[in-house]
Amino acid sequence: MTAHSTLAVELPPEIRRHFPFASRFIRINGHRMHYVDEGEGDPVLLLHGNPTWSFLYRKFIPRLVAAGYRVIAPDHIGFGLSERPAREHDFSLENHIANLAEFIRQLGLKGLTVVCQDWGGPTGLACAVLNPGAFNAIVVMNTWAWPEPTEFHSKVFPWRMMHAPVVGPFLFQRRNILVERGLYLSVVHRERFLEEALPAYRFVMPDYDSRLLTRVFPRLIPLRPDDRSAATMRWLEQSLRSTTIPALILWGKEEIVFPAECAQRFKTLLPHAKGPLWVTGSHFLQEDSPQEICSHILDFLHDQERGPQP
Amino acid sequence: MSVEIIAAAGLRTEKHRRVFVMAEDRLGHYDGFRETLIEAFGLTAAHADGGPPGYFRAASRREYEVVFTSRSGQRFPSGLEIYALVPGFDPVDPDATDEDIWRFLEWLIPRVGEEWTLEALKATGKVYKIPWA
Repeated sequence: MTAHSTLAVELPPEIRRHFPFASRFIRINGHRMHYVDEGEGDPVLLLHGNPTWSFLYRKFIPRLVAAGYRVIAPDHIGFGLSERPAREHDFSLENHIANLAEFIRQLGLKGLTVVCQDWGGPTGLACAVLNPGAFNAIVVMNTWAWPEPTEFHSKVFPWRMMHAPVVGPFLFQRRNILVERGLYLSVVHRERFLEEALPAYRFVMPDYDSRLLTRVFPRLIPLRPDDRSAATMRWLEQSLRSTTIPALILWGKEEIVFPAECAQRFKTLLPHAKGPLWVTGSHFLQEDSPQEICSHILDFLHDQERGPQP
Repeated sequence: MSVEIIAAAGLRTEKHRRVFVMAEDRLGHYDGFRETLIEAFGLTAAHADGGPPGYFRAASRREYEVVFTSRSGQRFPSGLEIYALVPGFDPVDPDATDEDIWRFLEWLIPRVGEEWTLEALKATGKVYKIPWA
């Protein structure tokens, strides 16, 4: 029996004020998963990465709902208000993909548009290529889908040092560096972030155990061909080459984790994609330019609904 | 010396309790860390089969127990757990503990060597506002 820890789901008023959505829960592969499900219409699935949660999309949800879409934003198992497995070996890229695939299956989602950033990319795109008939469109933002690391992920300073053996548990779990500092360093509009968003990210990572996945996810990024996740990332890249799902590539102009070359690599993988379109934004571009990104997504979806123009 | 590896005989464990500090499940994630700890703590095959834990004393004079763990399919030690040895029912000062662990990392990283440098650790600590970096 796996040990589990859980978080209270009551959000403080100062956080709920920015995140006024009903919290829903579903049992996925034995784990409790939290998600938001608002509106009616064709479903749009919003996928976050490390160390955020559905709060990241708080400004997307009302905008897309008002435009006539059903908007679904889950928290990956291990993040946000979802359950936090207590063992590092509980986590793998394959398990995260399986969790998301099961989530989509249980909700019976069809005609999906998936919007993904960071780890939302490998997980969401994998679900799309596993079940292409369920997906109408994909929107990729500041992510990757191949086994080769970026320059940022290859360097010892700061990335590999951060999660090195023994160093990782100290920095990520005892000092919570990704929430307390990493997020701040990875947005453009920092004062707004500190005032409006940091309390919500901090709230769901209150203690050592709750931060486990923040240090496990970095170790799942393959650096060498035989690393964990590498085979799955190779499969994902190969599968994406043959996908015909309409796609939009959106990228942050200030992104350094997945630099501009990554956007171009997606364009090579998905030559039919619209973009790349560039918005003001560092790694967490949803914090920087939510309205501009929503406008691009809605324009793209409206173009898809209208079909090919003469 | 910021960190001193100590033998069990030199410990003040009487009337001390063990307080969990942190755990590392994948010492082998990057090369060199496991080997460095094997050498520093004098680990042998016997340690994987009920042998004693290791201990270190920080410059603060506080002492820590290092429990080396094993896992099927991986070389020993596959991981470690660090416990603070706290006198009696005294409270734990998390910041003081963190400073000791940071000093332990400063001791460890240059011993791993090659690309793992003290400068890189300190630079990382500064970026992420670790007070002792």
